[in-house]
Amino acid sequence: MKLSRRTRETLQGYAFVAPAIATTMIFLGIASVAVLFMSFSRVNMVQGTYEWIGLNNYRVGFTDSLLHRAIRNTLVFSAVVVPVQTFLSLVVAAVLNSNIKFKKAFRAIIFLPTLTSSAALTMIFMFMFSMRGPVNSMLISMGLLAASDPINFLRSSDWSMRVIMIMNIWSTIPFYMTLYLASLQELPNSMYEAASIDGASEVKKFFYITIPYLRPITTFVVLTGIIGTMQMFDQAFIFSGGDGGPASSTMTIALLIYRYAFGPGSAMGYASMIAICLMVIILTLAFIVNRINKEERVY
Amino acid sequence: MKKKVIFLTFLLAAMAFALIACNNDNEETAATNAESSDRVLSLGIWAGNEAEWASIERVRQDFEAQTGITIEWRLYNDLNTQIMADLAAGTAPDAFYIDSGLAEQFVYMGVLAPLDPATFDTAAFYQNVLDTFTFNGVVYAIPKDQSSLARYVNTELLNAVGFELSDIPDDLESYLEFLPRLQSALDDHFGAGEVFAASGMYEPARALHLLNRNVNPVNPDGSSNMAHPDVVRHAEFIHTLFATGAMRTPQMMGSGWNGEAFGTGRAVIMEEGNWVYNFLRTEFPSISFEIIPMPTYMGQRSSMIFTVGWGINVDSPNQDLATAWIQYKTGVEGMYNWCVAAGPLPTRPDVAAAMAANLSAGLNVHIAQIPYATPWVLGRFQSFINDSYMNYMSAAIVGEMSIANAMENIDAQANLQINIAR
Repeated sequence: MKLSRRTRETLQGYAFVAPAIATTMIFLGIASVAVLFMSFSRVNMVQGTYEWIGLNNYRVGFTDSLLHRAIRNTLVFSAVVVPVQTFLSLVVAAVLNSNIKFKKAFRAIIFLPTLTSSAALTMIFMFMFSMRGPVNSMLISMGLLAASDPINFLRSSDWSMRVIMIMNIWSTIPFYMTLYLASLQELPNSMYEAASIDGASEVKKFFYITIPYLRPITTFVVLTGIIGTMQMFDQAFIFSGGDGGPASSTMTIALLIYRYAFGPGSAMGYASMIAICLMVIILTLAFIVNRINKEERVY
Repeated sequence: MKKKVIFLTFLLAAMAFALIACNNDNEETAATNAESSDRVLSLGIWAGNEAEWASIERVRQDFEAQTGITIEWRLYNDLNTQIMADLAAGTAPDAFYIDSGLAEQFVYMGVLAPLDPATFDTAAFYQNVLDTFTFNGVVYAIPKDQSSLARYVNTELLNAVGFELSDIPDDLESYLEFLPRLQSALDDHFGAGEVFAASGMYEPARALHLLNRNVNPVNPDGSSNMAHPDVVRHAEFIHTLFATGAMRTPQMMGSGWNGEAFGTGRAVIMEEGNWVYNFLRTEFPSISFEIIPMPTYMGQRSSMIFTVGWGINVDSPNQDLATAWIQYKTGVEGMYNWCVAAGPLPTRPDVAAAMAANLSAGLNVHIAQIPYATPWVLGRFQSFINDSYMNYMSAAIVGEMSIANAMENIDAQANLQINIAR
């Protein structure tokens, strides 16, 4: 049989991507279908029992106040962290791109948090924000707090999620900053020179040249930021010791999935339902972000 | 083009060969295992600290020498989670550790083989400890060892502010008057916020023996009963102890855990398990402390015990080997050698009696409390109830919500999850 050159090349192409496709299908494709199937079932992994219960998991989800709380916590977390980390990493990148002294040293230092494991960072932050940790000591020495009355950052429902937000912002900025910085170095200097000749201030240059030039990067940063924050698990888990407390203030969607999936009884199906909901939420948000970005391009 | 085709064919052949080779490998291993399976016993444990590891290795060597059975350790970092995955995958070891809090769940899942009382000499064990692993009259695991809570008192700090060991009340009710008095003496002597009268913990694992006084915080069907008026009353009492400001959690004192808070001299009294004894001796050899029994509450003595048992995988083909191991390990000789070297308390009164002469007076205080102590179990859905409790009680202890409100929330959240998982 004589194949045309084109067909042969196509077949060859498929042969080369086959291993990747096979791996993806096994570990993502089949797994995703299984999760979708399980979300309509009552599953006990150990006993190996599957029982089709239709939409029952979803129906129960509507009345699960803890799930609602987890969704709210995660959305608030995302809504605070994503804009702040995006804006700050842009500012830091712009500063490091200017002609300040020791900028290479700064770059290296600022990048350190990204190299540290998130679990280790969480432990460090828990120490910093502990009752006798550096943050409380600083606030006391500045006279903002009485020495006998430090703030219990780790076990206060007002504070614990905020501390996790600060930690998350601080630890993700360097990575996004690097992306911005790489793009900024491509930005032709002539645009700034032209703006200077027209008498634009540094602030105006930042808002009218730097930000618009970096829009594609911003889209990427916002999207990965949303995905990352919506799936936040490890920090909340370590911070709360796994219970999502105090008073459910650090309960995130991913933490709740873990608790149901690996807790006692047969809630793997219910956990799968929450995973599907999380996927829908992330897809919706990603779609909206993409939409907004496209609209802006029209102008 | 031809070259490419040849290359591709070669590549595919290589891949196929590799796959077949892998497959053969597996078959060979499986065959070796099958041949010698009557002599190899796999045991799922956690390694523990150095002393524990050295001790269990010694018990293994003794056992292997006596029986000719070879033991293969399956070490788990997080046994409670990982064993579930292994059970689901059908790759669980022949016998493994079972935490008291997971026993009922395991029995319900049908993964544990029922154990014959005569074979394992169950009459020789502390009844309340054995009951932790007994369901509908059937024993499913044999307790390997245990720990109990007792009070540790830093006598140096106590004497420094003019108090004696005998001044410490024997009943928890008197703490309400005593702790603030001790605290103000400590504040005068060391300055405010430096040393606290008592390091306390309100979590169920530490407070269940108070919460369950004349009431069960867990319903027979496993659901949470924390909003029961009696449980609420006990929890409110615990809250008043914390509200004095003289009792703090280790975290409130800026320490990681009780042992550290006590060892660094930040707390005068703490309630802690016997595992802290060796820790204090090695890490803080300079502090002087005494061990006294837990205080009474409502006129009754109580404490908590934490126990782990040996259970046999119901699907194991080596149940006879596992039986021989558990018989040896929880028998007089095996338990004695293990407990003496590793540090936990025995689960048999005869072993406790044999050890008593070699133990310090303090560790004998721990042993003496075992018969009336409450085992740490919160029913089949322990983790749901425990996590819900920690979630809301931590807010209530710092005054963000009332205890009654917290307890209602605990029931609502735990029972919602229990209904989903049931």
